[in-house]
Formats: sequence, structure tokens, C-alpha cells
Amino acid sequence: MSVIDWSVLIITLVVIVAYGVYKSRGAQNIQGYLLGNQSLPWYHVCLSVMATQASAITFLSAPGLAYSSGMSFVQFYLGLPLAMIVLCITFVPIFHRLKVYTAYEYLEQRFDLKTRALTAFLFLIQRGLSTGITIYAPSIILSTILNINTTYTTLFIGSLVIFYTVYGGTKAVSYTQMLQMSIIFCGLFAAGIMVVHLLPGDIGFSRAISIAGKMGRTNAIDFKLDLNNQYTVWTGLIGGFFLQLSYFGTDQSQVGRYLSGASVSQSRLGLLMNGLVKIPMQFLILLIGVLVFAFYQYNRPPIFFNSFELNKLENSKYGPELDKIKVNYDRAFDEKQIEVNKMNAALDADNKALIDQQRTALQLADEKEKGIRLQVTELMLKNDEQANTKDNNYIFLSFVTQYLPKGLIGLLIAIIFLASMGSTASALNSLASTTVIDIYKRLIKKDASDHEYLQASRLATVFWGVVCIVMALYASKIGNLLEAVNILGSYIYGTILGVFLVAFYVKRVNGRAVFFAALLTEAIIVVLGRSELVAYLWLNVIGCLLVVVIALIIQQIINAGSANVERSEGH
Amino acid sequence: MIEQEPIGEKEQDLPPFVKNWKQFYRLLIGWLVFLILIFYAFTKYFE
Repeated sequence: MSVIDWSVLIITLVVIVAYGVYKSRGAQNIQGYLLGNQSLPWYHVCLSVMATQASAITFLSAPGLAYSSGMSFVQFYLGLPLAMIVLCITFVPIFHRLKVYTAYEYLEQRFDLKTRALTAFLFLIQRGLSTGITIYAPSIILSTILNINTTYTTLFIGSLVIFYTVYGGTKAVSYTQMLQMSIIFCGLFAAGIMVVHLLPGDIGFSRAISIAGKMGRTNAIDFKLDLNNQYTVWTGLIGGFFLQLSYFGTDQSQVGRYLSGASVSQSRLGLLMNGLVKIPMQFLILLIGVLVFAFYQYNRPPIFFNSFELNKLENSKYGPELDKIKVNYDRAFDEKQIEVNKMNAALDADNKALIDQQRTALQLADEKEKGIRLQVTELMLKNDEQANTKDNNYIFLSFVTQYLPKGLIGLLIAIIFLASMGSTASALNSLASTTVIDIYKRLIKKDASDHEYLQASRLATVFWGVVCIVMALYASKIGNLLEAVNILGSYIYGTILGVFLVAFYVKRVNGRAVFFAALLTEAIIVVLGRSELVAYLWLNVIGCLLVVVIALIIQQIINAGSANVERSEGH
Repeated sequence: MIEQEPIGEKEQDLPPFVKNWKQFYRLLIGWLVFLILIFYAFTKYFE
């Protein structure tokens, strides 16, 4: 990176952290620290909710996913607007009316302490583990740029987030997120324009998308009903709806964001605007990945996008073998370019038969290139069994650093930092809230002063920050980060959502029934998830429905038992 | 001091641009259907 890029990166980070710290100064009580005194307007809520969900993983993995397998991932978000509506009708007014700090607090009022503790515990596990992955994602950026181990970069990013989250609490999180999202939108817009600008002179935006489309990269919508296909309209609308509802309705990192809204209507408006903007935003991010793919049809892409791992292999005893593979790769690329040019000619002539013929030829050339890249990863594993052979998360990054102009590189790197900092800060803040409100204040020290709880919240933030950093250090062995986070969420979210739905809509079920239903469901979901019988998004639906059904059955048994006892006592 | 009549919760809770929250929800569902159709057209056009 050039001096200009480093300057842009450092200035952006310093300004944002300083702004967050300045705006959140003077948090003297637990209400201000954990809920920001419930004073934020709807646009704050909207941007904060978006920044919490859109981690650095979104900006690293999504373009990489579009590059390697197309845009089908956009369907993952189709259930989000529907989930926002249900949240606005049910969750938001109830949480506001009861003046809770955390979502799990409500469950004690509705059921009992053990159900509150169980859901809080499940949340702490899920969020604690996934935040580790959220910190790891941007740390690979610095690792690639500086060519050093991700351990050091993970420590740097984790410490920066811990600093301002511990200092300013929820307000620092929200104010930094608002600025972060503004810069992110501007940066992505600039990146999209630059990719189109870098295409060959005779290749416009539409032609670039056409070429990528013929190679299967514009598959945004799939109506086929296939339970094993991860991303279809149905998994998105049904599975995605349950996942988003449980994420926004029961995950404290999101609940904490809209609870900081100044009123029910401010929180509602923030969530609904998120429902309007989120899918188009995700579509555009994936489209940037498709454009990068189109760009690499005219410019030779690296044989492996993670330069750190590639350098390791080049300098090993397998270096000469890698050189031979590179020769084949170059030849395959040249052959593919001929097919790309033929496709361009076919498109110019609007000859459908020729287009179909070229589509097959292009897809074969694409498969051949993938096969050669597979040889490289096999060689990497031969050289080092612990090598990270997934390079999806490096694709966009590699493009940015190699082809974008000075200044913009720094800005885009800053964006990835900011996105990660935003979601990590929300997560740490929510982990601290749950630890202090649901565990410490409820189970350990009930009558401490406000100042003590404030100090405990700061300590809890530091504690979870350290836990997440440790988790991040293990994240390098997980393939696609974005999917890993979502899969982990699907194991737990369905169960928690089921508990909340029973709480809201099935008045006749009590705490004992729902508690055991949740335990049983979690065991079934883990077995089902491990067996890979269904796509992971369906686990949310199954988990949620299982809790409701099992709770009803257990309640029926309890009622029947009580009736028998009453009858025998009557005799 | 003249006390103002407190604004009722329903009145205070009104969304901007539309008459009530139900209309906002319908608008969002309409937006979702529109997006699915547009993305489907995009998929078919470029495949």
C-alpha cells in the first residue's frame, strides 16, 4: 500500500473512533451505557441495525461468493422484510412497553428464570463464537497487505474495538456505526464504478454482466424446490424469514440496537427502512463480485488469491511443481480468452445457436480453470496440512489492492475495517448486556449500586473481547466465513425463536414445558445439522417449529398429570 | 402555564408518508415482490 492509502486508512479509523468516543462521553449510568438513554432517532436505528448485520465478512465473502458461484446468495435475505414486519407488530412494542434491557429479561416475566437463563446462555455461546469469526475476517486483510501472520492483525483489530466499546458503550457503538455506514456506501459506489471503468474499452457494463451470466454467475433467483440447495427463493423466504426473525428478534446484538430508539415508532421506522434497503444493497455487493469476475475474463487472475499461502508454496520444495501447474494455468486462461472473444462475437451477432454453443464452451473452460486451481490447493496441503486452501475471502481484496487507484485502496480497506468494527462492537456490547443484566445482576449480585453495574458492564466487555480474539485466532481453519457464521446461527436461532414465539402467541404453555422443549430441540437440531440431511437454512424453521410442537405436547402431558392428581385427591 | 393535551399513543405512533403502519407493511411486501420479479428478469436476461 502507498503512503496515500495508509494515510486515508489511518485518518478514517482515527476520525471514526474519536467521533464515537466524543459523542458518547459522560455515560454515567447503566441505562446510558447499555441503552444509550433510549434517545436515538430512526435513521440511527436503521444504520446501526445495518452496520451490526453487515460485518466485514459481508464485504469480503459476498463478492468472493459471487465470483466463484454466482449471485444466488442474495436469496438468503428475501425473508428479511417479512421478518421486519413481524418484529414491528409484536416484538418492538412489547420490549419497549416492558422497558427491558435485554430480550431474555422478557422471558422471565412470561415464563421463569431457567428459561431466561437458558436462552441467554445459548445467545452467549452463539454470539461469542461468531464474533470471533467477525474479528478474524478483516484481520486477513492486514495479513495479506503486510504479509504477516493473522495472529498479530487479529490482536490489533480486537484491541481497537474493545477500546471504544468499553469507553462509550451503546452510544459509541451507534454513533460510530452511523458514520461507518455512510463511508461504506460511498466507498462501495466508487468501487463499482471503478470495476466498470477498468473493463476493456469495448466491454460495457451490460456486456460484462452478459459474459458472467453465460458462465452461471447471474443466478440471482431460483424457484426450484430443492431441499438440498442452500439458496433458492423458498429457502430465502421461509428459512431466511425464520433466521432473520430470530436474529433480529432474539439476538441481543440487534435487540440492543432498536431498543435504543427514542420511541416505538422510531424503532419501527428504523427496522422497516432496513427492510427496504438491505436486499438491494446485498444485490449490489454481489454484483460487484460478478463485475470482478467479468474483469478477470480479460485479465489473468492469480492462480490462488491468498498471496500469503501462495508465497509459502512457491518457497517450498513444491515450488517447481507449482511452476508447471502455472504454465498449464496460463495456457488454460489463453484458451478461455479465445472462447470469451467468440462469445462476444456471438452476442454482437445476436446468434442464439452460437451463443448456446459458446456457453457450453465457456463453462467447460471455466471448469478446466477450476480443476487447475484445485491442483494448487492439493499441493498446498501436501506442503502443509494446516494450509488455508479457501481463497474466496481474498478475491475482492486481491482485486482492490492490485487494480484500484491510490487513495481508493485505502478507503476500501478502511471500509472493511469499519464494517468489522461496527458489528464486533455491537456484539461485545450485547454480550456485556446479557452477562450483566441476565447473569450477574439476576443471579449473582442483585442489590449492587448503579455504578457497580456500570463497572461490571465495562469488565464484561473486556472479558468478551478477549474471548472473541481467542476464537478469532482459530477461525483461519474455517472455509467460507460468511457461511460458517450463518450455519452456526442456524443451529441455535431456531430454538431461541421458538421459545419467543411460544411466549408471544401460545399463552397456555408454561415455563417448564418450553424449557424442556428447547433442550430437546437443540439436541435434535445438532444431530440433524451434523448429518447434513437438509440445507442449513431449514434448521431455523425446523428448530422453531419443534420447540412450539414439543412445548405443546409437554404442556398437554403436564395438564393431564395435574388433572389426574386432582381427580385422585377428589376421590 | 398552559398545559397541552398529551398526544395519544396511536397519534404519536404514526409513520411518515403513509396513513398508518399497516400501509407501510403492505408497501414493504410490495417492494419485496417487485425485487423478486426484477431479480428473476435479471437472471433470465443474462443467463
